[in-house]
Amino acid sequence: MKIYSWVSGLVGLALLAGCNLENELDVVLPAYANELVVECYLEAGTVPRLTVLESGPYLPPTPDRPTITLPTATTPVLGVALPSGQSVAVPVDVTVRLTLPSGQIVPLRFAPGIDPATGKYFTHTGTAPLAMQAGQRFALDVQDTRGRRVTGTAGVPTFVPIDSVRYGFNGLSGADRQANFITRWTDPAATADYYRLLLNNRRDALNDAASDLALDDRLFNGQSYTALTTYRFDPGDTLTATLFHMEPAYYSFQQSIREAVRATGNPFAQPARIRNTVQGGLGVFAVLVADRRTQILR
Amino acid sequence: MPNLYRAAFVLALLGSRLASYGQAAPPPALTGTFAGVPFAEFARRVAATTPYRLYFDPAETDSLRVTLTATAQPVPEVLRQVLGPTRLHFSIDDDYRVYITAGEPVQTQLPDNFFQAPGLPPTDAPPARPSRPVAAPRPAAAPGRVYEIGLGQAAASGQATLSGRVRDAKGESVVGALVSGEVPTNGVVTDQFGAYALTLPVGRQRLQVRALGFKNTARLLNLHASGRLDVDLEADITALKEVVVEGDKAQNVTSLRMGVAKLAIKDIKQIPTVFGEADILRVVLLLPGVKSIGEGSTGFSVRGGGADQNLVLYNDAVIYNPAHLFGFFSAFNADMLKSAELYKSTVPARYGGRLSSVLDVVTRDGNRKQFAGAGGLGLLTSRLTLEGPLASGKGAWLVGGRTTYSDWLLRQLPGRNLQNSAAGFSDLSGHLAYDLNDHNSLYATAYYSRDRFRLATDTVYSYQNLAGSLKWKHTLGDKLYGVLTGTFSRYQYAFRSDNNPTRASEVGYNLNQGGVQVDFTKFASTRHTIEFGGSTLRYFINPGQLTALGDNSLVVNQKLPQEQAQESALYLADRFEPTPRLSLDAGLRYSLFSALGPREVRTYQPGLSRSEGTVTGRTSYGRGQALATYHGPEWRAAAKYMLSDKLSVKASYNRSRQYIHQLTNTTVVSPTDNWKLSDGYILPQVADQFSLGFYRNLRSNSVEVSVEAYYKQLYNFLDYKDGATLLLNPHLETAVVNARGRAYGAEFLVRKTTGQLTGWVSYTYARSLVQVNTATDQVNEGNWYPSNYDKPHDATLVGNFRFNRRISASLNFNYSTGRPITLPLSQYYLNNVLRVFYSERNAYRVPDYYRVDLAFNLEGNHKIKKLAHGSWTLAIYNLLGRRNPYSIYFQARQGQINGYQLAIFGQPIPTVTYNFRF
Repeated sequence: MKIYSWVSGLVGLALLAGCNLENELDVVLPAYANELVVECYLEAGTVPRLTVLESGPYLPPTPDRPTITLPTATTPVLGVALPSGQSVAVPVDVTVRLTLPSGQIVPLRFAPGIDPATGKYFTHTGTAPLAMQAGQRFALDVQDTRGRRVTGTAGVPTFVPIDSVRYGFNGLSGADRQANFITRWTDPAATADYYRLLLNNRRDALNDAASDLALDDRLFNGQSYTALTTYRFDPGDTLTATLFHMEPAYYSFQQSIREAVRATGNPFAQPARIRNTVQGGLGVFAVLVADRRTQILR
Repeated sequence: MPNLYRAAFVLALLGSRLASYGQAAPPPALTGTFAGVPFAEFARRVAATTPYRLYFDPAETDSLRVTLTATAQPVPEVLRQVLGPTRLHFSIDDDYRVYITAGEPVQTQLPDNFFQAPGLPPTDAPPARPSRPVAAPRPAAAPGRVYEIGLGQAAASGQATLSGRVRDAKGESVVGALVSGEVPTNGVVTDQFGAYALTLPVGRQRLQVRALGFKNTARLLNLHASGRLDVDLEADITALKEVVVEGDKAQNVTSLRMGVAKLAIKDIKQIPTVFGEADILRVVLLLPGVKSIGEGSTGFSVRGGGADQNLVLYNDAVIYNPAHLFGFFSAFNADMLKSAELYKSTVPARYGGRLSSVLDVVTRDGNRKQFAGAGGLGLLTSRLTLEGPLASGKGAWLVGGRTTYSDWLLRQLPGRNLQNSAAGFSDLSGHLAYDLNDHNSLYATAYYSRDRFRLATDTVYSYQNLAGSLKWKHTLGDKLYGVLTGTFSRYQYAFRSDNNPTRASEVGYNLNQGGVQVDFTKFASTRHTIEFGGSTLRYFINPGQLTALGDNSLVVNQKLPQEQAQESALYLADRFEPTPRLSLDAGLRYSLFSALGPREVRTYQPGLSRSEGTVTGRTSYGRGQALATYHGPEWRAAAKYMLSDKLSVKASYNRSRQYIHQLTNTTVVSPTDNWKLSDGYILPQVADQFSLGFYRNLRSNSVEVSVEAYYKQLYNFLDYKDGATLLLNPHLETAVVNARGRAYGAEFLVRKTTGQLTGWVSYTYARSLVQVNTATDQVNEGNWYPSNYDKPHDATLVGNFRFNRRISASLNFNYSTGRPITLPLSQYYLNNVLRVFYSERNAYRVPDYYRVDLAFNLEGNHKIKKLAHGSWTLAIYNLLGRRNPYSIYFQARQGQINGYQLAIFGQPIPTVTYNFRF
């Protein structure tokens, strides 16, 4: 707010200095070719699914985009305006191949759809659930007919179980009586490990997470770690702790998403750059391994 | 033959007179061992190894045997040793002719007014009373006279100290005048009070005083013992129109200081500015190594440092926001000022607290002789300064003010928004100087400035600077004096919004600091000048207060807890001249900082980026309890070696520490930027700078050429997490990260200081890079990236051409690489959310900046008797009308994002200013 006022003040003063001293000139952004955007999360026991979209120019804006633009021979991209207001560009000339740890190559077919459970859309899907073990690696190869190719690999992190969850009240009574929540797990000593700890409060389901913590084991390698919150939960709350054990690349991607969220809405803040885990384009390819514990605060 | 001899002697005298006051280079020194050598042989060897020729009567010296060992010793010093025990005297003229006589010494110079018989003060005038200032009748009459110093006191053996003050014809002290004996390189420079203390051999001496804008002046003295001599200088009228930045002409080469630019106010007034008002900060921006933060902003970056790393002092009181009206005007009234000095690399040990530079702005003392005034009428502002003597010339007062009438102008403009707008500032400054006696002087300064603006929004911004200083200068003998200074500074801002009654509120911030400083200067010997002292500062910051306005406001009042801290320092510095060619300056400043309670400090999970989610608890600190303490040495070292009379090489190393930080996540400096003290999480900023420079003077010192290179490392300066909220944030540690920086560059300067055409051309290549790669936070994957101030190429031309005594023209040319910017390149959906693909931080640049300004100065007539002297300045800012982008921003209008380049001055801006003085 203050920044907008400040800039409008500068403009106003320039106006005051004479006539039309302030000039707004159209910005010519550096030329930048659209890229493939890949998003793929693998989980043990689920059928692999993948979304491949295309990035669009930041400027100029595209006014009144039609609901659907059909692919052509020169631009084999399907433009879809979703009910959510999003306009996505789905390239239709993409072939996707997933290399399993055994070396077997599994093609994922182009079958766009929306997952009814999560509301997330996808463009490619496999046929059989995946089996995996810690330490194995998957590889992804995404190509289109226009010479663009995105590749990535993702390892299966070891399963790190939550040792215990507990809570404690602050000793106050009435409305001031609040609990903290403590999650404890043991870090493997031999490796550099990265974690994301999500706390979801069933009572407060509108908020995605009551706590979303990203951390690495630099300060507690090989030891048990206790993540605690401040006293902010009410008696009767049901909390679910989800502990993801992640590869460094995916951890870095998660961190950059957090930074981007913080930068949103302030055009003068240094913008945040999302760090991809794939090469040759944008996006993320990761294997999710997590442990969950639920606890009711009584 | 005797006639011929006499004629030759007279010619020699006249020749020496003509050559006198020239740029005396250090005379060649004598090296040799003499063991019982007859004087005639000694004279022959001196003539063989140096340009000195000795003239003497062999009958008077036949019994004299010389026994001594000299190693690069000045010849006059050797002669003093040789002739000291005898009844012989010697005199040296400017052509190195040495006349040795028994009885009376030969007078090698005629008095200035020798050929004007009436009113001539006799050369055998009564000696000046010892230890009293010699009240020279009028400056020009003084040089022919011989001043007897220390007569009647116990005679000093060998050497004695001469001290005093150098003033101009109005009684104003002259800062930075070079006072020297026969050997100019052994001279001293007058301090901020115009005071000097010079140790000289006893006996007949010639004291030379040189200063910018004044005629070179000399005094003949007979130094018996330590004593005092005040010198009044006469203004050099022809020099008044020159654009000369450095002090004494030869100082560029001979001074030990490097990375220093001294700006005299009369030069500043020549340079065209945007609204016609002489502006000290705008001229600072034209110096090599100094870069503007943005057009229309007086924030500046020195050698790649941040805008908050510059200490701006107004008679030693800190001014936190030295800008008016978005930076279009500097906060200082040019008529009040004497000079400004910018230290870029060798920062004297007595200054501290900022990393990159010190801008020391000094006011004039006021006219000690008569009531006078000056002023100006411009398009947007007017100013008036008055001054006069106090207690019949023992002191002076000076008061000046400025105000705008832009509100009135805004109301005349079409458009409702503009008519509802307001923008204005005013400032008032006063200064008193008073000499209690020869040993005690008092100085008091007060400064107040106020800005208020409301532009096309419902928010009214206002900010104020209040500063004051009180100084007591006490002389504790000929070689030691001390200055006790008390300072106070307050900076506050507020913005209020009352258009919508339910959201009506005011946000306020204020910073207060009070301090005491004591500085001593000891002229220990001809080779050592020692400075020492200490200071302590107390800060009180109210970091933010949100107050609801009116009964209908739904805003919840909020007040952030006060911050307090104590910053203290002790320093000691020695300027040492082991040989005439080599000078060394070594200093240590040790600073100590404690952030003090009462405060409640959050603790965070170790090893994690500090955020709301990683808070583990709180720790309370009581009143006065230190919650964090930092201390460390700040080294200051400099060396100069004269490779020849006109060429020197200098090197310096500087370490500085900074405990207060300006928080801004915009590239422009705005009045709502907070200053924050170091605490347990925000570490002090530390910088190390190494510099090396070569200085060469050409064409009788009228052209200066210099090259300075530097390398700078910065630690713990603040960078911001993405999307950081700085305003009313009680936990700023969650918004900032500690960054490392490095800056390096080379500054080339050619400056012409005299003649019809004066000015300078400079080119700077400079890089300024940042790295954020802590255990918890990274920017650009922890790689080095260009800082906001990284503008590698910068070229400046400042020229002033004098057509005649009344008309001159100035031209500025300014070019620099555009500043770095982060651009959005593309957008895409990821996990159902629209994400923007940005370039790496600061990977692109705004287009290059260049601007040409032109000004004509028309002086009124030079009649002696007239009511007031007037002058007109006609200036055109941005002559070519280049649309220099100020910023690039993106704005959503009607649901669409558009990009804009904002150019502030996209057209030529003509201005007219009338200035007067009486």
